[in-house]
Amino acid sequence: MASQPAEAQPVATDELSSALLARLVEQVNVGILTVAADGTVLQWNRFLHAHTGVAPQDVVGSNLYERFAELPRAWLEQKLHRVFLLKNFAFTSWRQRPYLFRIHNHRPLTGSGEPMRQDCTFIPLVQDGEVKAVSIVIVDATDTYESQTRLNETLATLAAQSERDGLTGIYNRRKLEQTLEAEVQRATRYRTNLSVVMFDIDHFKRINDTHGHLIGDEAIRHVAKRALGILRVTDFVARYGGEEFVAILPGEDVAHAAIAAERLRSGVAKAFSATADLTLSLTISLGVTGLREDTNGAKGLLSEADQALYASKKAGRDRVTVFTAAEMTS
Amino acid sequence: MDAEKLDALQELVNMGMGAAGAALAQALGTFVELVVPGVDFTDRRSVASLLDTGAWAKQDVEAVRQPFFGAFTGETLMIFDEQVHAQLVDLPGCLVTSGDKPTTAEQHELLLDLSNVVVGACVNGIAEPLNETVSFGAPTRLGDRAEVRAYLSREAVAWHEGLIVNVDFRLEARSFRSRVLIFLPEPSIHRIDHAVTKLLDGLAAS
Repeated sequence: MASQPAEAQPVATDELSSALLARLVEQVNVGILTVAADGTVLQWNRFLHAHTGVAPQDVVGSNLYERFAELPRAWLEQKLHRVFLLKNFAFTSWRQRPYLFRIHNHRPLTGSGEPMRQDCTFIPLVQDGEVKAVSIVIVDATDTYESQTRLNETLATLAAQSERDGLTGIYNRRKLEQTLEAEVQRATRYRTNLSVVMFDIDHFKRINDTHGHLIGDEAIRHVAKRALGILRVTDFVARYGGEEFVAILPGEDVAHAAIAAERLRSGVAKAFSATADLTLSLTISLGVTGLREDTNGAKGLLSEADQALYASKKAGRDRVTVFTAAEMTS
Repeated sequence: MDAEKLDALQELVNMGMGAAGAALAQALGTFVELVVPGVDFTDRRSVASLLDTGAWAKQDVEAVRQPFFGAFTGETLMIFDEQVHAQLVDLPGCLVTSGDKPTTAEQHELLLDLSNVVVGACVNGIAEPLNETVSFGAPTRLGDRAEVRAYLSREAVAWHEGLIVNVDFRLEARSFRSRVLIFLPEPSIHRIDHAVTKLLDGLAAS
């Protein structure tokens, strides 16, 4: 006959003696301290002893605020006062208040060396309808803090990458379009100048065909790098696609933009080392336009700069052309 | 749970809020008003529709959630209108620890603190007359309207129906609007039902 499963014998409360419960409080891996209404520390467990270096015999019986002068006293007193008054739990989170006690995080091997982030729960100990004392339970939230920090870093990197061109590291077309849109709005609102320079590498296909795509990539990188060095920090340059680039020059009229474009042309035209044993020379063609009252927004600017660039190509390359409505749109 | 018990519970909650309001006034150092517009059965999703009605629809919100457990297990949602931050700064019972102007973290801490205190008083205001006790989890900010909606429309929860206790919270001389929603899912309704029955029987016997 199959034996009946033995009924689990409930452990009598008496058996789980207060000595055993005290051992639990002592050994649990959270900080537990208990304070009386006047701030006297009644309990201080091993976790707190180990991490603060303060032994129970040095703190139990003392006033919490006197023993730890660095605690935010006014704030903590109010917090505890409310727990006593309302007989209700209270909480703090590392998100708003990184820690209650400044202690090292307990990972000497893998930790970052920052103070332990702490989530605290204030528990009213009620007996006969009165709050006799309040226990503060301190949980190490450093792991959560660290993953949150890493997540934030990753999100920031992703956001940065989503607006950068992979080959050159300068801004990409998406970011260019957003920026130009914003700059056009700003220039229109404040009635300031705004110019755009579009340029591309002359005979790029020939470079690719002669030296291969890797050298072609080097040429694109070279132009991006030179352009960054030549333009002002307030200017903006992006890879528009292929071997084509666009620079936005906020505050500049067409005449000044044409001068900047000429600097770009002559600066890029200098020979550069594509590899250890290959020195290459290349030229660029440029088209310049400026914002006018009748400009058709950001799209219009790009289209005009493109037409001026086309005119440079047609006129023999390696030159700057300024957009003029009469000649080009007809 | 029948209509008679629901009425009794509403009555009980009203009384509980009287006591809660008095304790809160003492803790916050200003006069507090807690009004219970209703105790009713609802589902989780219709909680979100509150945000589309009346004055709540017109402005952005801040929301804080907090779980509780013990005799009754459930969750509260406290919603505030966008004026709350500006109006909490000089509240006598709320301390700002650093400079004159609170940092974002301090604003959030004030809001979480206020929410915890009000929610605790309200939930205890229900539990105490029923001779029960509850414990609380930490409050967390949900952020704006869209986030509240996203949280409330999650599919993967064990229950959808429950009892909801609405409590409107007002502070003297402050115009921000706030409401506590105490949601007791099905398993807790039986506990409440039982406790109310016991209380009613006790009253009838005396």
